[in-house]
Amino acid sequence: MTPTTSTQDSGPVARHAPAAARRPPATAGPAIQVAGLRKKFGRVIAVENVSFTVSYGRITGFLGPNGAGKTTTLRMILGLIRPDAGTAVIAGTPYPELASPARTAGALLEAAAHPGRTGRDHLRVLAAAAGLPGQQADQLLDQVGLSHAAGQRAGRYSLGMRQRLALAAALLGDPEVLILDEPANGLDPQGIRWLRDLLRTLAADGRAVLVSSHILAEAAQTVDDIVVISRGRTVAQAPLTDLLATRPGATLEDIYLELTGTPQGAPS
Amino acid sequence: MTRLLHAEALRLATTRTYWLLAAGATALIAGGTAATAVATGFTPNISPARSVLAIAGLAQTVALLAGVLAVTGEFRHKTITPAVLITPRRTPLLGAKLLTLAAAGLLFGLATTGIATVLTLPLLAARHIPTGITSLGAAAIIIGGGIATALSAAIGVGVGAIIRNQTGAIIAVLALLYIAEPLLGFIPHLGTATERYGLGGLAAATTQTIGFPAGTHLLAQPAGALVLAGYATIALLAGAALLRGDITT
Repeated sequence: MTPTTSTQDSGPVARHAPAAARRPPATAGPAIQVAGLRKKFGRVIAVENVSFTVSYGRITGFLGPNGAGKTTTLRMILGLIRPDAGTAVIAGTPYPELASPARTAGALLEAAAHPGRTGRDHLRVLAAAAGLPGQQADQLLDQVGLSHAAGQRAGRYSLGMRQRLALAAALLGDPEVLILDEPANGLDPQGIRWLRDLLRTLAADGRAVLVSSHILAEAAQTVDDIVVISRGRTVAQAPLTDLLATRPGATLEDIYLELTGTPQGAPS
Repeated sequence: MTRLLHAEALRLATTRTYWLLAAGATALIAGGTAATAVATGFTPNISPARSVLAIAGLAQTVALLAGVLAVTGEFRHKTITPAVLITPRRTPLLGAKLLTLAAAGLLFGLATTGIATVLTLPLLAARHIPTGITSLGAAAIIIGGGIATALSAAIGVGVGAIIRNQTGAIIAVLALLYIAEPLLGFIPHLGTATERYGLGGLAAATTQTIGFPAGTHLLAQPAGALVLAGYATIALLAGAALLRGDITT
């Protein structure tokens, strides 16, 4: 996928260079390539066989029921969990071996912050560890709409605010690849609209965005490509439009429920 | 590594936890040593000075807990995930925590033991109680306080990486210091070894004070510091090995 050229140069990611000026992705290949991932925790198989690719310039929705292995897969891609088998690379390299991980890929996995530390200090700590200037903290807080709470301790943040703070942390290194686990959690309708616009702008900028969700209506409005996993296995990977074209008249929800084997009307 | 040290220094300085711990412990040590120096009785030939100064040993307990908090806090608040995302190499991450906590512990130990010493010695002297401590001896006590406190913080970092549950780790440390070591001290033979090689006895040896247990079997100052450093090394190596495992929160 070639990055779409966009004339958007204002809006929520104004600090980034316009799409035309952005350097092309470091490698010609996919942003993320996952092949045959497998992971057992004790006797429980969390991920059986997951493979998919994520392209630059597109938003890829990572869908699956609770317990399907989405979070475990994302953590394996990011080197937090060691797979029993299979490989995951970002821009051709395993995440822990990237020369500057934070500048290559940013991730939101937990809306986590020390309750006693301010939002600004939370970002300053992470910026320092990544070798980035601390002044970026304020720009990022502005970008995610948290300027008003920059000096407040994170313990006083709502879940939505912590989610925005974690998103700011993911954007810290101005990365080419974003990996977001349920980023809409705790956001109000305004927040969800804002997030959708932000993700669209990031993708239009040539970045790859992998976003897990189980809110299908939201995913249907946001994503370009779909990866569905169920019981630890990839059951579908296709552009959303192609997927919808296979069953005229069916919604993403219909197709998803069919793929994940949940009969309509059955208790979930 | 410079980046990581900068980040860890910020982590330490940007919550109130460690400032409050340090301020509270400093006040307790200053008040405790001053009040005891004013009130303590003494028998001729046995100076109470080194027992009074043992109150400053609170600095080592606090540093041990601070080290535990610095690591277990990352797991408790799930900030270990963003931390490891930014720094995927976990051993340098732990190393930066170790160096930062040990440096803070050194300063804290020098300050608190220094305050205790400059309060205790003049107060005892004013009561005409001989201290038996020369100015060189006082310097050895203060430097020993700094080193023992730095090493205690290092042990805490290692223990925190081994026992990631914050409450569990704190209870384990306090149970060791205030229940297991004193009780073992009563058992013949084993008691002598506990006095000498337990954390309490090693801290007393390193700070040249007389703590509990009563301390007739203490190691010499350098030996005490070396054994403490050995414990810290073992705890940190074990912690670093365990930190290589999956991070699921």
